[in-house]
Amino acid sequence: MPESCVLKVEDLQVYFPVKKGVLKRTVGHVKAVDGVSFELRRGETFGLVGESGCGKTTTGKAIVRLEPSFGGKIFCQGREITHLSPLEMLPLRSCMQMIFQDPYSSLNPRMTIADIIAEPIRFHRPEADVSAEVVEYMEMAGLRKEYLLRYPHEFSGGQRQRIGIARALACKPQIIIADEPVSALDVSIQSQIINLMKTLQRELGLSYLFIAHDLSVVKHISDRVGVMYLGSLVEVCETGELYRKPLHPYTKALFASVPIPDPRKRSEKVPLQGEIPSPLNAPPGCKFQTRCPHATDRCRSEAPKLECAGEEHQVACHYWRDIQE
Amino acid sequence: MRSTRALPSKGKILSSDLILEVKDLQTVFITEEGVVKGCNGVSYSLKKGETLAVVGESGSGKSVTAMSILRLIPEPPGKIVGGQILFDGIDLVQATEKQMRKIRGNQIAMIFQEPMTSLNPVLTVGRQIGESLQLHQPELGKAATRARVIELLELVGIPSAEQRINEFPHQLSGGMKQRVMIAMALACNPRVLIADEPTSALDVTIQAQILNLIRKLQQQLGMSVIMITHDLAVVAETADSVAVMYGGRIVEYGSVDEIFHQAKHPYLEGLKRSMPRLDVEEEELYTIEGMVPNPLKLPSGCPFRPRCPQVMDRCCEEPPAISFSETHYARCWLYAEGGTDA
Repeated sequence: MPESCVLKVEDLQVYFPVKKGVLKRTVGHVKAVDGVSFELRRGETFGLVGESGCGKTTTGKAIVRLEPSFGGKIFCQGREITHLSPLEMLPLRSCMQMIFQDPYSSLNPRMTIADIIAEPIRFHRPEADVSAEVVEYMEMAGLRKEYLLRYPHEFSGGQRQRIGIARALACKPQIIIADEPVSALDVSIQSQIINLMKTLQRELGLSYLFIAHDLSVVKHISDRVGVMYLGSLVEVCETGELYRKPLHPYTKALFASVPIPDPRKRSEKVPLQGEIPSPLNAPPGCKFQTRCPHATDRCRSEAPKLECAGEEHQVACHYWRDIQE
Repeated sequence: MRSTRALPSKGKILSSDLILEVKDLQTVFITEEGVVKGCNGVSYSLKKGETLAVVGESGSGKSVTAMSILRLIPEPPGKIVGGQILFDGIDLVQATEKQMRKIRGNQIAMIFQEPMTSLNPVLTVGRQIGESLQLHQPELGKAATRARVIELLELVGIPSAEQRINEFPHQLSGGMKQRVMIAMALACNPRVLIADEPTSALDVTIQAQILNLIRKLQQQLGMSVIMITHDLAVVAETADSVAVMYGGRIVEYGSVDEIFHQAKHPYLEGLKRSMPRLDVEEEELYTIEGMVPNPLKLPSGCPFRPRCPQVMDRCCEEPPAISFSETHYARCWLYAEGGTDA
């Protein structure tokens, strides 16, 4: 694993058993994440996009071991963490922190802001000067120190997200896994949080795994992007190139579905018919074959693997060369 | 009187093309902490076949206005304290509950944001759609109602409608549930459809399908649509006219082209610049400083005053509506000299 790589995921699988009958026998699996591989480099932002149910959140949770993985390997700074016990994980927890989607339910309503931010400091660095550090992290996240003794309900969504960020920073992490950090916020507040995250990344050299469904937000913050569909990565690419020249038919359709905020560029066409199939009985072969306009018999039987289509560009499609206009 | 065919009977069309007119509507909520002015002097009008988008952030009063039109504001704590809502020669603010029941779901229908929670989980889809038909068109028999429900499900693009009619909401995906909600709203051929964030809970590929469906049905059925949303991109895709709301007021109103290409109000300008975009490269996002205002503690004068980068002393006073064209106005002191007071 090269020096620059802080997190590496190899063929990660997260399966949830489906139980039926009196004896609760396992009769099948929901393959939420089915063979995902990528790496996160030092100081970069890797965006993970996809529609609901594609497994992007489960991937994030499996990486911090909040969800047991069924197969595959996870490396954090060169060390395999896939099968570490909870106790062995403890020192590594401060290295990887998570920011959650819903700032309303991810803060304990009975704790003051000071307590929320102090908790990880007391736990991971008991020798530290807690009160000084709390103020430092609050200021870093753009919160005034007068808020120290207030409770979460006194804050708006954007400020709560700032508290969540301050709490994550308090562990001195190197990797932050941000699961839809701005999707619950108003547009004018969204841009404040995105800019804050970018500033913090520059100043502290953080690496972000940025999970979101909003393609415009992901484009703005990410250096590289992975597109997920039904538990698998279909395309991984450097951001600029992906948005200029998507290769996978799903990525193309996804981009074409995003409404453009300009009435002069209005389009009437619907790029993608049908809906995402249930992961309980995913189609055989390529998972996108049921909605793909280019699907052939080969797609229906043989699952495509990620292959290189450029220096920083991988795509999982049998026909990516043939379907480019 | 109303036809049961998929296409609406011509019905009565007002002398002008105006179908719905909201005039200086004021809705308040009386809470323990004080009086919240949910919508404070809102006026807009809707023409036949037009789509009016009402855009704003949470707490801007966009849903309150729509709920007031249907008189669905819970009373107490809410109360419409002033203004008029003219529909078909009736002032809906003064209408009796009996009159409202004939209008709600029949002439003005609504689709809600969360299809997951707005459907009854213990009734089949067919029964829920049939309910409004039976209420508003009791002369329809059982068989005719069923046939009409199947027709509606096909209209909104649900495959194998004959089977789906007997399914329960949990058996359908989010996009399908939203289609069912639309079918329900269309059951009685409404003249006005109010869509409150119809696609916010859906994925982009499904959002594109649903927006296209609403557009297609609107052309087919000649409805007028009020599209309530927080997403400017959805506005750009669907609207003819746009009302931008902030702090319970309309701060700017205009045709979709005027709103996107000749924006005047600093709030709208800021909102547009703070959106990350797919079609434009930008390095740093513009931010509107501060927070969405607490509706209990709105400042005097212009509600955007505390966050406005171009704030002046005069902004403490109520800003006038300045017209820029027949369809376009903004409520801002910045333009007070050049424009004419409306």
